[in-house]
Amino acid sequence: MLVEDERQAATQPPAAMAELIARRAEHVAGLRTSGQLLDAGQLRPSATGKRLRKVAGQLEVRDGPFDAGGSALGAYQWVTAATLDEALALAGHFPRLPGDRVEVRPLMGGRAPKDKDSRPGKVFACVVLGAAANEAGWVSVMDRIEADTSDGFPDTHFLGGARLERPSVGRSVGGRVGVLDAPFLESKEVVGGVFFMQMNGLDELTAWAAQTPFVVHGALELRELWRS
Amino acid sequence: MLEATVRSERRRILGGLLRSRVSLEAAEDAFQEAVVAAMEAWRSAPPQNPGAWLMNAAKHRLVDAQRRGAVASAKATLLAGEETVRPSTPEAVADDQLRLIFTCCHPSLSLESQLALTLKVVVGSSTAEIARALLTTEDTVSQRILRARQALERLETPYESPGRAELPARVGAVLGVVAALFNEGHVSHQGPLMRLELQAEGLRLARLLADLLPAEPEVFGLLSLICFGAARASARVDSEGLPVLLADQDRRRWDLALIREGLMALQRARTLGGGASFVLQAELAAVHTTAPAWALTNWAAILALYDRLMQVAPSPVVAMNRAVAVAMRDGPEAGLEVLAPLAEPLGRSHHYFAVKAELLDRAGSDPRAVLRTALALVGNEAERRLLERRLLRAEVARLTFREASKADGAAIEALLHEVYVGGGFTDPAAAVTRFAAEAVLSRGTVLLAEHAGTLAGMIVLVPGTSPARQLAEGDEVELHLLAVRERFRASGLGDRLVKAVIERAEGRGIILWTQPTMAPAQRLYERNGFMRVPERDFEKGGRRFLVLVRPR
Repeated sequence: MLVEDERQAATQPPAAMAELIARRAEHVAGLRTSGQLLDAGQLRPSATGKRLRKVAGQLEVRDGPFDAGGSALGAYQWVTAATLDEALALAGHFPRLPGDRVEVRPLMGGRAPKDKDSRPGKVFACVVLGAAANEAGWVSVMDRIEADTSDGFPDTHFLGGARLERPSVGRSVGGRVGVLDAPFLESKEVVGGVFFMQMNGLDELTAWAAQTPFVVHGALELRELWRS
Repeated sequence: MLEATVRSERRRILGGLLRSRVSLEAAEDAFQEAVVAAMEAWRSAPPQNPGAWLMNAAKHRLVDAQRRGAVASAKATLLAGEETVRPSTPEAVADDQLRLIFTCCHPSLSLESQLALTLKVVVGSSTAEIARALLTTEDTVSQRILRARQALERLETPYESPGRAELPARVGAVLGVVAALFNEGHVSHQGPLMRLELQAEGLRLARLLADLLPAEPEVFGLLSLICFGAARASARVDSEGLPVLLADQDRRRWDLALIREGLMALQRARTLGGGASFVLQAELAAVHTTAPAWALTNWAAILALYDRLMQVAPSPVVAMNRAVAVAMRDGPEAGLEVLAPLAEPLGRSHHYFAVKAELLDRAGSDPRAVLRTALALVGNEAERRLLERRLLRAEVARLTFREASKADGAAIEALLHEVYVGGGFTDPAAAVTRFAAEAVLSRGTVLLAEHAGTLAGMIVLVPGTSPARQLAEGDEVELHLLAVRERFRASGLGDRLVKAVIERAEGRGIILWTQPTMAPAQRLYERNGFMRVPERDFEKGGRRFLVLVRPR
């Protein structure tokens, strides 16, 4: 998962933007050729997304951007690797701007979407977020979400997705500190899973998401994907 | 709620109704009746799902209309068997919207009709809005839409929407309509340069098509092309509403978010393996958009793309643009050579003559006759004014100056009053003595520029020996009374007059003073080597004067 400085990305000169976009496409094509890539995608700016959660039973919908510091999930790659170190090495080659960070996390299961870029309508990444005082608490939030949503996806719209291992078994490359062990939870909302939905629009997706347990136990960030 | 629902659902509902193979007009009538019914019904009981409510209501209206015999009975049976639940999978919704768009962009209709019908039915504009957007009357628009509907009625399989497999072939026609819509907003054929609302609709429709047809490279080529065009929109017009050519645009004013969207769309087209017309045009636009400056454009890449475009979609306009690229890479003479054979097919295009004039000018030849031909052909008001400005510049560049004599006295007085008193720089009372011809002529050398028999501008060189000198020290000379008639501002005349004085000063230092409100004049002096000397500024008669010096 690429955690990028959106303001930096948005103010690059056109030539630098073009170069980064082309390098990312090449990088993805390379991973596809080597057979390691299950899926990849890039998210539109968080300003076009929404974040939903329920506070004391009341739905709270926030428009992006969500981080005052300007950082946001910008892209992801779903790869197979024998070890975490191998995955981390791949992540190190993820074309990115200075200061941007790639977080690597093993998956607990799930299925990768197929042909998502060629589906009519709009394709969204739905990022499952949980907040807790410590990791054990966070894991139980995710467990509750999983238990409550195991049969809740509409076949006509659900394209695939995965639950992620807890943050402490993941690692990070890039950013201001180079390789970083597990991000700390603090009180921030931490990613616990991502799934993909094909919808006619953000409003329709928001209406559906508001009825799901994701927003009861944790929060759900809805972000449209670029076609790539 | 109703208004928002109508706006967001109209395409889906109309497209859904067309699934029953009724006429477009019948579908629109049924939709309208459903909206009227909703106004009443929703007041007391707002529906859970407004879109589905409208869809069902419209379908019932359609069945009622058929029972009244408005539509052939065969169609009625078809309709009766239709399910009434609104489709909600993105595939079904996409198909419904595409059916509507394909209907409005039917190849049997003229482009004008396709545009009007698309704006009316797909975008949902009113007849008045369409008339304003297409610069025509409401009557003409109504007529066009009526004729288009009649033409569609006559077709044997009226609203047959192509299956997903045969889509690509039909997509071309739709893309042509969207491109025309955007281009009409981008470079209007008549009237003001850009009509932003048309441009915005073009962009919206291109985005919609990319959602509906996400595997068609040409769709993403067009979306990319439109994004790049829209990104430059704010830099394309100057403060007077005149077009600014790509070469002269302030690139910092381009919209980076739209550029990024254009680049992402182009990358999608590349991934899909597109090499057809819109993708190549987008590639061309991308080369321009990513160049840090006009002079740093990768002309070899531009030329290679034009060569490919000439193979895929040859046209005289493409060939003309290719000639410009040749001129940029190999010089204006080479460009003129490539341009020459296009005189035949492009003999009615002002663009052709504008390009030819530009290349002639850069090759050091006289572009005036060619610019006059371009002016005779141009329809867009802003483009006409730009061509007029270029012709004036070409004429000013060829003016010769002469020294004034007593016979010019009246004309000089008139010019100075017009420029200095008219511009608020000199008090009328003071002007009478200051601008008296005899006094002006005695100051020094008075240079006059005449255009078509009238005085266009003047300037005075006051030698260090003249009693009229006021600030000059040592062998400095003074520059007085630069005056350029309104019509000749921004034509290069001021620069030429100042340069004439610089030449006659023969290397001596030149001093002049101007007023703070004369900003354009200050810029003119500064680009000709004058520098502010604030310690020599002074006040006189209640006005402040800024001193500029061009050192020896």
